[in-house]
Amino acid sequence: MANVNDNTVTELLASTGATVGTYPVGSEPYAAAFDGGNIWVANFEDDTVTKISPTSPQAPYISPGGVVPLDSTASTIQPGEWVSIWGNNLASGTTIWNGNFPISLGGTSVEINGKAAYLWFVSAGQINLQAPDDTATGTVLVVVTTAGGSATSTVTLGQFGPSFSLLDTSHVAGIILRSNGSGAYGGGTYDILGPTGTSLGYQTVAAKQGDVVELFGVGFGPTSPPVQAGQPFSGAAATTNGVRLVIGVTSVIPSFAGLVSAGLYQLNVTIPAGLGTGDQALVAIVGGVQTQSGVVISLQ
Amino acid sequence: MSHRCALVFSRSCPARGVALLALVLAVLVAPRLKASVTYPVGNSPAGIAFDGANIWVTNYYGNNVTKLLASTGAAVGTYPVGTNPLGVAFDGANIWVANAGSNSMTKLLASTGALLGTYPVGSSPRAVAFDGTSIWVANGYGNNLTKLLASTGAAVGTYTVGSGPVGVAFDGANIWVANYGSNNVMKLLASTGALLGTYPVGSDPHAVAFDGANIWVANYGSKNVTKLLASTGAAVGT
Repeated sequence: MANVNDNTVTELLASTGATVGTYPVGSEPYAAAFDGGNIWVANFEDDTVTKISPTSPQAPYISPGGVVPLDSTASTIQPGEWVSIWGNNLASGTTIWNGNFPISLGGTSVEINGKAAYLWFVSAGQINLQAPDDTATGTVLVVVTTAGGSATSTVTLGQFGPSFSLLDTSHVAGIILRSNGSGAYGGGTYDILGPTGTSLGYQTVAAKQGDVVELFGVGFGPTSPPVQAGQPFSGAAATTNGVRLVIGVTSVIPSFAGLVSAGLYQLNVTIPAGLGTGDQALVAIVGGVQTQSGVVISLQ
Repeated sequence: MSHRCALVFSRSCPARGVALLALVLAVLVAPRLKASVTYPVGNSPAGIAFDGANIWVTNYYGNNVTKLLASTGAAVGTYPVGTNPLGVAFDGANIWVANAGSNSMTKLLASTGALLGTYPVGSSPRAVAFDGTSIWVANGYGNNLTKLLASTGAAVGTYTVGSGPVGVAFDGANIWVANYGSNNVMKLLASTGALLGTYPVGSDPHAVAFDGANIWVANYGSKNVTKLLASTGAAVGT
């Protein structure tokens, strides 16, 4: 479609009408024709024609060690965990799911140990997915397939692949419950945990002694009841293995640790006294496996 | 215990993914990369057609057409036609040019560009389509279509359509015409010119194309396209 006032042409998918892309051409594109391989556009004001040729899709590439739990660089993932794959040409464009756990998204599909993964987000450089259920452990193949070909890598499947979700590169994703309705979010029911102020680009508050906080992450292991990957989940499925937090040098046992959404774990903690102030190191250990280093929790 | 998801701000939250969509799309305003190259043609190119090997461009103010080799973009030749050429079509051997300013059609031999004939049509011919046997011309100010026998240029008939017909396409059996001033398209049986239906579309429909099953209409005024099922004229979407 020649957009005469925008100096572009738009490509629509004939089957659905979906926009495939919009491409710059000359001034006042007035007509277009197809020669079997290319689109030709007559630019009325420029006294030119533009020939647009499709580029051949590039073969996908998975970076070394590029299959990791979300927000982590660990080499072990667990079935059902949200996982990132990093690389190049992993998708022809950026596409986000509709909450429907697709096994193909934007022309990209992924198999882990021969089983289709559930895709949430695909882009050229990154895929976010939920790993399929699997009883296997150890090194397994990861295959990304696009129109440009396939890329193969490996990852270690384990029972645990814990990783805290992060607000930025270091601050744990969490909230502080406000039973008195004073929170900035959720109709006053909670604050977002972080350095007090807006240094992250939105309002966050550091936790203090006695605050009930909920921390979020992935890969904290099996639950009871088990929760199948690839489908929505709401409720609470507690981890079957105990989770221990270490804040600074102090061990803290969450009052609850378990799945609260598909692949998403929640750890409930009441902040004890004596943890100090400012950003304190935070790790969690489950099944002998520790979350990523460099994570902090903001305290006051 | 509470199970709300605060991860709308988290790097790992699907909701955040959705929130990021607008930003991602903004980044993607730069189109998915496609190679493009630009070639000079004549004065105010307004129509374009492919003959199987070459691209033909009508130059509205140049009163000529430019022939480019499609594989390389190299200019093959420039050929005079009538006044203000707009629409252009290939009939398998010849190039037909609608001369909006001289109310005529020019027929050129595609292989050489040689002038084969000039044929009178209606007022302000703007678009042209080939149905396998005949050339159909949308006469923008005449509010009608002219049908010419492609082999000889002889007039077969004139058919009244809506106001301001400026786009025309063939779907294998029927001729579709976009009536700019009527905000609709019409479907005529190509073999007889009989009107089969009139279908509302967007504002100021300007061009029409067939994809093998559907008719696509570019609505200049409403800045959208309408998709109609060619077999029935039913609207599929906008």
